[in-house]
Amino acid sequence: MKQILSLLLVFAAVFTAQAAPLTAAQKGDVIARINAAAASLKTMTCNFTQTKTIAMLSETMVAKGRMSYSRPDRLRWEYTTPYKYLFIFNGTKVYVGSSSRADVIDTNANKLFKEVGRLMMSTVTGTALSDTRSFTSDVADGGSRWQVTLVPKKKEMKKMFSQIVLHFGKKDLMIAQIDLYDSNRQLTSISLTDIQTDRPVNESLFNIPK
Amino acid sequence: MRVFLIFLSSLVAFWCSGEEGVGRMSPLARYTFALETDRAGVTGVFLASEDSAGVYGAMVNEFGVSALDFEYSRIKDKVKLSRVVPFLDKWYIRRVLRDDIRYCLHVLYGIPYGRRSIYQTSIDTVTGKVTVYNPRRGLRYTFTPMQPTHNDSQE
Repeated sequence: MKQILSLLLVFAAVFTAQAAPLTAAQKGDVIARINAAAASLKTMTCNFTQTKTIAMLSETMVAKGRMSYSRPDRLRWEYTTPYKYLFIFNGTKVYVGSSSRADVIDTNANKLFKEVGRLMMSTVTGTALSDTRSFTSDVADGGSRWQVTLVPKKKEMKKMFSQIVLHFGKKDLMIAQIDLYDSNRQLTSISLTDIQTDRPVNESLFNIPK
Repeated sequence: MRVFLIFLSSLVAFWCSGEEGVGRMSPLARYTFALETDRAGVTGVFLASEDSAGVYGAMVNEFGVSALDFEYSRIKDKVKLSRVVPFLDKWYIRRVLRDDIRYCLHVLYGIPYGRRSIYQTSIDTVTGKVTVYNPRRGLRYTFTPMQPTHNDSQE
Protein backbone atom coordinates (compact mmCIF):
# COMPACT_ATOMS: atom_id res chain seq x y z
CA MET A 1 0.00 0.00 0.00
CA LYS A 2 2.83 2.35 0.99
CA GLN A 3 4.56 1.67 -2.33
CA ILE A 4 1.41 2.39 -4.30
CA LEU A 5 0.91 5.66 -2.46
CA SER A 6 4.52 6.62 -3.17
CA LEU A 7 3.98 5.76 -6.81
CA LEU A 8 0.83 7.85 -6.87
CA LEU A 9 2.68 10.79 -5.33
CA VAL A 10 5.41 10.51 -7.99
CA PHE A 11 2.80 10.46 -10.75
CA ALA A 12 1.01 13.40 -9.21
CA ALA A 13 4.26 15.35 -8.96
CA VAL A 14 5.20 14.62 -12.57
CA PHE A 15 1.83 15.35 -14.10
CA THR A 16 1.03 18.42 -12.07
CA ALA A 17 4.50 19.97 -12.40
CA GLN A 18 3.92 23.46 -13.77
CA ALA A 19 5.69 26.78 -13.66
CA ALA A 20 4.95 28.56 -10.41
CA PRO A 21 3.21 31.95 -10.66
CA LEU A 22 4.95 35.09 -9.42
CA THR A 23 3.66 38.26 -7.79
CA ALA A 24 3.39 41.41 -9.91
CA ALA A 25 6.48 42.85 -8.22
CA GLN A 26 8.50 39.69 -8.87
CA LYS A 27 7.40 39.65 -12.53
CA GLY A 28 8.43 43.27 -12.93
CA ASP A 29 11.80 42.52 -11.40
CA VAL A 30 12.44 39.48 -13.66
CA ILE A 31 11.39 41.37 -16.80
CA ALA A 32 13.59 44.33 -15.85
CA ARG A 33 16.60 42.04 -15.35
CA ILE A 34 16.05 40.18 -18.64
CA ASN A 35 15.52 43.50 -20.45
CA ALA A 36 18.78 44.85 -19.00
CA ALA A 37 20.65 41.74 -20.16
CA ALA A 38 19.05 41.99 -23.63
CA ALA A 39 19.86 45.69 -23.92
CA SER A 40 23.54 45.10 -23.27
CA LEU A 41 23.79 42.24 -25.78
CA LYS A 42 25.95 43.19 -28.76
CA THR A 43 26.41 39.89 -30.59
CA MET A 44 25.28 36.33 -30.12
CA THR A 45 25.98 33.05 -31.88
CA CYS A 46 24.65 29.60 -31.04
CA ASN A 47 23.54 26.25 -32.39
CA PHE A 48 19.86 25.41 -32.34
CA THR A 49 17.73 22.29 -32.43
CA GLN A 50 14.16 22.71 -33.63
CA THR A 51 11.62 20.04 -32.71
CA LYS A 52 8.20 20.04 -34.28
CA THR A 53 5.48 17.65 -33.15
CA ILE A 54 3.09 16.67 -35.91
CA ALA A 55 -0.05 15.33 -34.27
CA MET A 56 -1.52 13.95 -37.50
CA LEU A 57 1.41 11.55 -37.88
CA SER A 58 2.38 11.18 -34.21
CA GLU A 59 5.73 12.28 -35.50
CA THR A 60 8.54 14.52 -34.36
CA MET A 61 10.51 16.47 -36.94
CA VAL A 62 13.97 17.57 -35.85
CA ALA A 63 16.01 20.22 -37.65
CA LYS A 64 19.35 21.69 -36.63
CA GLY A 65 21.33 24.74 -37.53
CA ARG A 66 23.23 27.82 -36.46
CA MET A 67 22.20 31.34 -35.54
CA SER A 68 24.17 34.59 -35.54
CA TYR A 69 22.97 37.97 -34.30
CA SER A 70 24.64 41.36 -34.42
CA ARG A 71 23.16 44.48 -32.88
CA PRO A 72 21.02 46.33 -33.75
CA ASP A 73 19.16 44.43 -36.43
CA ARG A 74 21.18 41.71 -38.14
CA LEU A 75 20.19 38.07 -37.89
CA ARG A 76 21.30 34.94 -39.71
CA TRP A 77 19.25 31.80 -39.08
CA GLU A 78 20.59 28.80 -40.99
CA TYR A 79 19.25 25.25 -41.06
CA THR A 80 21.91 22.73 -41.93
CA THR A 81 20.20 19.39 -41.37
CA PRO A 82 18.04 17.62 -42.53
CA TYR A 83 17.43 20.43 -45.03
CA LYS A 84 19.31 23.53 -46.10
CA TYR A 85 17.48 26.78 -45.49
CA LEU A 86 18.87 30.22 -44.88
CA PHE A 87 17.11 33.26 -43.44
CA ILE A 88 18.97 36.57 -43.23
CA PHE A 89 17.51 39.78 -41.88
CA ASN A 90 19.65 42.87 -42.15
CA GLY A 91 17.26 45.63 -41.24
CA THR A 92 16.01 46.58 -44.68
CA LYS A 93 16.07 43.26 -46.50
CA VAL A 94 15.14 39.66 -45.79
CA TYR A 95 16.74 36.79 -47.69
CA VAL A 96 15.08 33.38 -47.66
CA GLY A 97 16.84 30.65 -49.58
CA SER A 98 16.30 26.92 -49.82
CA SER A 99 17.68 24.28 -52.15
CA SER A 100 14.89 25.03 -54.64
CA ARG A 101 14.47 28.82 -54.57
CA ALA A 102 15.77 32.07 -53.13
CA ASP A 103 13.93 35.31 -52.50
CA VAL A 104 15.00 38.74 -51.37
CA ILE A 105 12.25 40.78 -49.79
CA ASP A 106 12.33 44.50 -49.12
CA THR A 107 11.00 44.82 -45.58
CA ASN A 108 9.73 48.32 -46.26
CA ALA A 109 7.40 46.87 -48.89
CA ASN A 110 6.47 43.69 -47.02
CA LYS A 111 5.42 44.29 -43.43
CA LEU A 112 4.89 40.61 -42.67
CA PHE A 113 8.53 39.73 -43.32
CA LYS A 114 9.63 42.74 -41.33
CA GLU A 115 7.50 41.48 -38.44
CA VAL A 116 8.88 37.93 -38.79
CA GLY A 117 12.46 39.23 -38.80
CA ARG A 118 11.80 41.44 -35.80
CA LEU A 119 10.03 38.62 -33.99
CA MET A 120 12.95 36.23 -34.51
CA MET A 121 15.46 38.78 -33.29
CA SER A 122 13.42 39.97 -30.35
CA THR A 123 12.71 36.45 -29.11
CA VAL A 124 16.31 35.34 -29.47
CA THR A 125 17.69 38.39 -27.70
CA GLY A 126 14.87 38.77 -25.19
CA THR A 127 13.81 42.27 -26.24
CA ALA A 128 10.33 40.95 -27.07
CA LEU A 129 9.47 41.29 -23.39
CA SER A 130 9.54 45.06 -23.59
CA ASP A 131 7.58 45.16 -26.87
CA THR A 132 4.22 45.92 -25.28
CA ARG A 133 2.76 47.03 -28.61
CA SER A 134 3.21 43.54 -30.04
CA PHE A 135 2.71 41.24 -27.06
CA THR A 136 1.10 40.82 -23.69
CA SER A 137 3.55 39.04 -21.43
CA ASP A 138 3.46 36.94 -18.30
CA VAL A 139 6.30 35.47 -16.24
CA ALA A 140 6.43 32.27 -14.22
CA ASP A 141 9.06 30.43 -12.24
CA GLY A 142 10.01 27.30 -14.16
CA GLY A 143 12.57 25.93 -11.70
CA SER A 144 16.01 26.58 -13.15
CA ARG A 145 14.52 28.94 -15.76
CA TRP A 146 12.19 31.88 -16.02
CA GLN A 147 9.28 31.18 -18.34
CA VAL A 148 7.94 34.19 -20.20
CA THR A 149 4.69 33.71 -22.10
CA LEU A 150 4.04 36.16 -24.91
CA VAL A 151 0.63 36.44 -26.55
CA PRO A 152 0.66 38.34 -29.86
CA LYS A 153 -1.54 41.42 -30.15
CA LYS A 154 -1.09 42.13 -33.85
CA LYS A 155 -3.50 40.55 -36.30
CA GLU A 156 -0.86 39.23 -38.71
CA MET A 157 1.16 37.66 -35.91
CA LYS A 158 -1.95 36.12 -34.34
CA LYS A 159 -2.54 34.26 -37.61
CA MET A 160 0.83 32.55 -37.19
CA PHE A 161 1.21 32.08 -33.44
CA SER A 162 -1.26 31.76 -30.59
CA GLN A 163 1.50 32.13 -28.02
CA ILE A 164 5.27 32.06 -27.60
CA VAL A 165 6.99 30.83 -24.45
CA LEU A 166 10.56 31.97 -23.84
CA HIS A 167 12.75 30.14 -21.32
CA PHE A 168 15.59 32.17 -19.81
CA GLY A 169 18.36 30.78 -17.63
CA LYS A 170 18.08 32.20 -14.12
CA LYS A 171 21.81 32.65 -13.74
CA ASP A 172 22.83 34.21 -17.04
CA LEU A 173 19.37 35.54 -18.07
CA MET A 174 20.07 34.22 -21.57
CA ILE A 175 17.45 32.61 -23.74
CA ALA A 176 17.69 28.81 -23.64
CA GLN A 177 14.51 27.66 -25.35
CA ILE A 178 11.70 29.10 -27.46
CA ASP A 179 8.32 27.34 -27.65
CA LEU A 180 6.13 28.48 -30.52
CA TYR A 181 2.47 27.49 -30.50
CA ASP A 182 0.92 28.00 -33.93
CA SER A 183 -2.66 29.02 -34.58
CA ASN A 184 -3.71 25.35 -34.27
CA ARG A 185 -1.90 25.03 -30.90
CA GLN A 186 0.77 22.77 -32.39
CA LEU A 187 4.15 23.18 -30.75
CA THR A 188 7.52 23.95 -32.30
CA SER A 189 10.28 23.99 -29.72
CA ILE A 190 13.71 25.52 -30.40
CA SER A 191 16.51 24.91 -27.92
CA LEU A 192 19.68 27.00 -28.13
CA THR A 193 23.07 25.57 -27.20
CA ASP A 194 26.73 26.62 -27.26
CA ILE A 195 25.68 30.25 -26.85
CA GLN A 196 28.45 32.80 -27.19
CA THR A 197 27.79 36.47 -26.55
CA ASP A 198 29.61 39.70 -27.26
CA ARG A 199 32.32 38.11 -29.33
CA PRO A 200 33.29 39.41 -32.78
CA VAL A 201 30.97 38.10 -35.51
CA ASN A 202 31.94 38.09 -39.17
CA GLU A 203 29.63 40.79 -40.55
CA SER A 204 29.72 39.21 -44.02
CA LEU A 205 27.43 36.51 -42.60
CA PHE A 206 24.63 39.06 -42.86
CA ASN A 207 25.26 39.96 -46.49
CA ILE A 208 22.46 39.05 -48.85
CA PRO A 209 23.74 36.28 -51.19
CA LYS A 210 23.74 37.15 -54.91
CA MET B 1 -7.60 -1.60 -4.43
CA ARG B 2 -8.01 -3.37 -7.78
CA VAL B 3 -10.39 -0.68 -8.98
CA PHE B 4 -7.91 1.96 -7.87
CA LEU B 5 -5.08 0.31 -9.80
CA ILE B 6 -7.23 0.02 -12.93
CA PHE B 7 -8.12 3.68 -12.55
CA LEU B 8 -4.44 4.58 -12.17
CA SER B 9 -3.37 2.56 -15.20
CA SER B 10 -6.14 4.05 -17.36
CA LEU B 11 -5.06 7.51 -16.22
CA VAL B 12 -1.46 6.78 -17.22
CA ALA B 13 -2.62 5.31 -20.53
CA PHE B 14 -4.65 8.45 -21.23
CA TRP B 15 -1.72 10.76 -20.51
CA CYS B 16 0.70 8.72 -22.51
CA SER B 17 -1.54 8.30 -25.54
CA GLY B 18 -0.87 10.36 -28.64
CA GLU B 19 -3.26 13.19 -29.47
CA GLU B 20 -4.71 11.91 -32.71
CA GLY B 21 -1.94 10.28 -34.65
CA VAL B 22 -2.81 7.57 -37.10
CA GLY B 23 -1.49 4.04 -36.69
CA ARG B 24 0.57 4.19 -39.82
CA MET B 25 1.90 1.18 -41.64
CA SER B 26 4.44 2.59 -44.06
CA PRO B 27 7.60 4.43 -43.13
CA LEU B 28 7.29 8.18 -43.23
CA ALA B 29 8.06 9.75 -46.61
CA ARG B 30 9.84 13.10 -46.33
CA TYR B 31 10.20 15.61 -49.12
CA THR B 32 11.24 19.21 -49.30
CA PHE B 33 8.57 20.94 -51.32
CA ALA B 34 8.16 24.18 -53.20
CA LEU B 35 4.85 25.69 -54.24
CA GLU B 36 5.45 28.39 -56.82
CA THR B 37 3.70 30.75 -59.14
CA ASP B 38 5.46 32.87 -61.76
CA ARG B 39 5.89 35.67 -59.24
CA ALA B 40 6.23 34.08 -55.81
CA GLY B 41 6.63 30.85 -53.94
CA VAL B 42 6.82 29.10 -50.62
CA THR B 43 8.97 26.18 -49.54
CA GLY B 44 8.81 23.70 -46.71
CA VAL B 45 8.70 20.06 -45.74
CA PHE B 46 6.09 17.54 -46.88
CA LEU B 47 5.61 14.49 -44.64
CA ALA B 48 3.31 11.60 -45.51
CA SER B 49 2.55 8.04 -44.52
CA GLU B 50 0.19 5.52 -46.07
CA ASP B 51 -1.84 2.51 -45.09
CA SER B 52 -4.43 0.42 -46.90
CA ALA B 53 -7.12 3.08 -46.36
CA GLY B 54 -5.22 6.11 -47.52
CA VAL B 55 -2.36 8.56 -47.20
CA TYR B 56 -1.94 10.96 -44.28
CA GLY B 57 0.40 13.87 -44.03
CA ALA B 58 1.32 17.42 -43.25
CA MET B 59 2.95 20.39 -44.93
CA VAL B 60 5.17 22.45 -42.64
CA ASN B 61 7.44 25.38 -43.38
CA GLU B 62 11.12 25.26 -42.46
CA PHE B 63 10.52 27.17 -39.23
CA GLY B 64 8.07 24.50 -38.13
CA VAL B 65 4.89 26.46 -38.80
CA SER B 66 2.21 24.06 -40.04
CA ALA B 67 0.54 25.01 -43.30
CA LEU B 68 -1.98 22.17 -43.30
CA ASP B 69 -2.64 18.50 -42.54
CA PHE B 70 -4.32 16.23 -45.06
CA GLU B 71 -5.98 12.81 -45.27
CA TYR B 72 -6.45 11.03 -48.60
CA SER B 73 -9.08 8.28 -48.79
CA ARG B 74 -8.40 5.58 -51.38
CA ILE B 75 -12.06 4.52 -51.45
CA LYS B 76 -13.48 8.01 -51.92
CA ASP B 77 -10.47 9.27 -53.90
CA LYS B 78 -10.77 12.49 -51.95
CA VAL B 79 -8.49 14.67 -49.88
CA LYS B 80 -9.68 16.18 -46.62
CA LEU B 81 -7.74 19.15 -45.27
CA SER B 82 -7.46 20.07 -41.61
CA ARG B 83 -5.53 22.55 -39.47
CA VAL B 84 -5.16 24.86 -42.45
CA VAL B 85 -3.12 27.95 -41.60
CA PRO B 86 -5.43 31.01 -41.50
CA PHE B 87 -3.99 32.76 -44.56
CA LEU B 88 -4.72 29.67 -46.70
CA ASP B 89 -8.02 28.90 -45.04
CA LYS B 90 -10.31 30.32 -47.73
CA TRP B 91 -12.83 28.06 -49.50
CA TYR B 92 -11.43 28.80 -52.98
CA ILE B 93 -7.83 28.11 -51.89
CA ARG B 94 -8.84 24.93 -50.05
CA ARG B 95 -10.61 23.66 -53.19
CA VAL B 96 -7.52 24.13 -55.35
CA LEU B 97 -5.22 22.63 -52.72
CA ARG B 98 -7.49 19.60 -52.23
CA ASP B 99 -7.50 18.83 -55.95
CA ASP B 100 -3.81 19.51 -56.45
CA ILE B 101 -2.68 17.53 -53.40
CA ARG B 102 -4.86 14.61 -54.52
CA TYR B 103 -3.14 14.56 -57.90
CA CYS B 104 0.31 14.94 -56.31
CA LEU B 105 -0.40 11.96 -54.03
CA HIS B 106 -1.44 9.89 -57.05
CA VAL B 107 1.95 10.66 -58.59
CA LEU B 108 4.03 10.27 -55.41
CA TYR B 109 2.38 6.98 -54.42
CA GLY B 110 1.82 5.58 -57.90
CA ILE B 111 -1.95 5.48 -57.46
CA PRO B 112 -3.75 5.23 -60.83
CA TYR B 113 -5.54 8.51 -61.61
CA GLY B 114 -8.96 7.65 -62.98
CA ARG B 115 -9.91 11.17 -64.03
CA ARG B 116 -9.10 13.43 -66.95
CA SER B 117 -5.96 15.24 -65.87
CA ILE B 118 -5.09 18.87 -66.54
CA TYR B 119 -1.73 18.49 -64.83
CA GLN B 120 1.72 18.32 -66.36
CA THR B 121 4.08 16.00 -64.52
CA SER B 122 7.81 15.35 -64.67
CA ILE B 123 9.80 12.85 -62.63
CA ASP B 124 13.58 12.87 -62.33
CA THR B 125 14.41 9.19 -62.06
CA VAL B 126 17.91 9.91 -60.71
CA THR B 127 17.02 12.28 -57.84
CA GLY B 128 13.40 11.20 -57.40
CA LYS B 129 12.33 14.84 -57.76
CA VAL B 130 8.68 15.16 -58.81
CA THR B 131 7.25 18.29 -60.42
CA VAL B 132 3.53 18.81 -60.92
CA TYR B 133 2.23 21.86 -62.79
CA ASN B 134 -1.36 23.06 -62.68
CA PRO B 135 -1.66 25.16 -65.87
CA ARG B 136 -5.14 26.40 -64.99
CA ARG B 137 -3.89 28.10 -61.82
CA GLY B 138 -0.24 28.55 -62.79
CA LEU B 139 0.88 26.59 -59.72
CA ARG B 140 4.01 24.46 -59.70
CA TYR B 141 4.59 21.86 -56.98
CA THR B 142 8.06 20.39 -56.58
CA PHE B 143 8.82 17.47 -54.24
CA THR B 144 12.43 16.46 -53.61
CA PRO B 145 13.08 13.39 -51.41
CA MET B 146 15.00 14.27 -48.26
CA GLN B 147 18.04 12.24 -47.37
CA PRO B 148 17.55 10.11 -44.24
CA THR B 149 19.39 11.51 -41.22
CA HIS B 150 20.34 10.14 -37.82
CA ASN B 151 17.14 11.78 -36.51
CA ASP B 152 15.16 9.16 -38.40
CA SER B 153 16.50 6.47 -36.12
CA GLN B 154 14.78 8.15 -33.16
CA GLU B 155 11.35 7.25 -34.50
